[in-house]
Amino acid sequence: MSDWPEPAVDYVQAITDTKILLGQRYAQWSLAGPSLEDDIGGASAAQEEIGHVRQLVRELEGQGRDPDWLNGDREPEEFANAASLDRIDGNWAEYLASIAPTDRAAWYMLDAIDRDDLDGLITKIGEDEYFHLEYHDARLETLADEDPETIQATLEETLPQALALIGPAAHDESADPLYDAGFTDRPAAELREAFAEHYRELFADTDVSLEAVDWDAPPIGEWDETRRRADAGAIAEADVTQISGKQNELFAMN
Amino acid sequence: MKYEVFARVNQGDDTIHIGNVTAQSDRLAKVYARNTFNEEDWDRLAVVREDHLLDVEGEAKPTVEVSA
Amino acid sequence: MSSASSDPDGAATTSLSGEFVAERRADASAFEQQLWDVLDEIPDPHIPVSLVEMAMIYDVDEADGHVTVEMSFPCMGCPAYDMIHNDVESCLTVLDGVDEVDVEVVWDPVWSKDMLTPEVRSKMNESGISL
Repeated sequence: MSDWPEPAVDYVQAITDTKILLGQRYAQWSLAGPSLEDDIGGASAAQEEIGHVRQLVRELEGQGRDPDWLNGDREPEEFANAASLDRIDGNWAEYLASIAPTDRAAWYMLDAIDRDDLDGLITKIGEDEYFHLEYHDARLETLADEDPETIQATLEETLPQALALIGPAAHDESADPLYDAGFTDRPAAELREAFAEHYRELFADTDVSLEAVDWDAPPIGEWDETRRRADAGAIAEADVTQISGKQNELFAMN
Repeated sequence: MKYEVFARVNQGDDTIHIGNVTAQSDRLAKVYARNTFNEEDWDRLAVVREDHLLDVEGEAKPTVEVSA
Repeated sequence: MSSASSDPDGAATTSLSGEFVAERRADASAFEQQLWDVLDEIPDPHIPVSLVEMAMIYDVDEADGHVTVEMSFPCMGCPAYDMIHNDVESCLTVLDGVDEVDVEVVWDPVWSKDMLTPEVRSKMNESGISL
């Protein structure tokens, strides 16, 4: 397996850690959604995210990352997940407005990767993601009608957090190290624009206003390039315990 | 809103009724139908709003109404 | 939806047709053919066909007792992922002439139902599975 350019390992790590948490959050909500159909969709998305993680972890191992560390033997602060997934308090609408932009951001980042040896893997992930994102948008549309205040207030927090995962606005064609190294075919600034445009269009004819969203966040000076976020927050210890699977190690197959 | 779900296995087969889903929008109904019924790899899977089904014959026998 | 028969110069397109497995097996040595046959006995845990019939085995390579099996999965989140790994390893490791087995999961080409032969499809149809 050939070496990736240096910043690429952190980039894929952040996508992977975000997907670990997406799988965890989907699973945590998969018995508590408003309808059986929502629960089935959530459970299936959880399984798919775990499948994506399993393959991305193999790639990261190939780049020299420690398997135990990758699989959860680490401190909460060492997870490079999007800040929008740190907590799971709040109601269904808040949950949906947290995972939807995060899953979309992680997919945009994968889609931008330009490497022949990852092509098939990313195409396969995209087959799953199409349905995750379609479901989120369909659900956000109905929630925008039922509970616009909650959706708007949550998105004002989670959209900038998802943007931080994608990368700072300053990472344009001339300044994005991943684009510069040829690992991605679009700089973060371009992904951010496509991302913002998507949500502006989705909510255009609804009571959810995105006027107050800070579309320029985070300032590059506050952005942590390893964890791809702008604050020092982290998931709970209890999340790490569940993710690492240590307590149930006895029942694992391998 | 209730949606009836229809599918066929192969092109040329009869499209048959396989179940229903309840959803608040057409878009969501399509996603729900897929989540619920995609264990099979259908050639075609479609949803129809219940109120778009036009009754031809039902419980009451149709009669010609003559308006006064 | 095989494009192989209708495409006159279809070397590239046949790889996604029902010929997929036959093509992948074509250049196997006599011993590798035996390994393919053993893998053809391992059932898919979900449906009544083998891993080879499911076109999940992409390549089998043997050199000095070291066997590399390239395979893929129809679903990335397959719950039987580890179990299938174990099946492949344990079925091959016990054979004379095999010292070591590596299972390498690949995604190129991405698995597709177009890789199944018409025979396998009808076998699955008879079992009540439409693909």
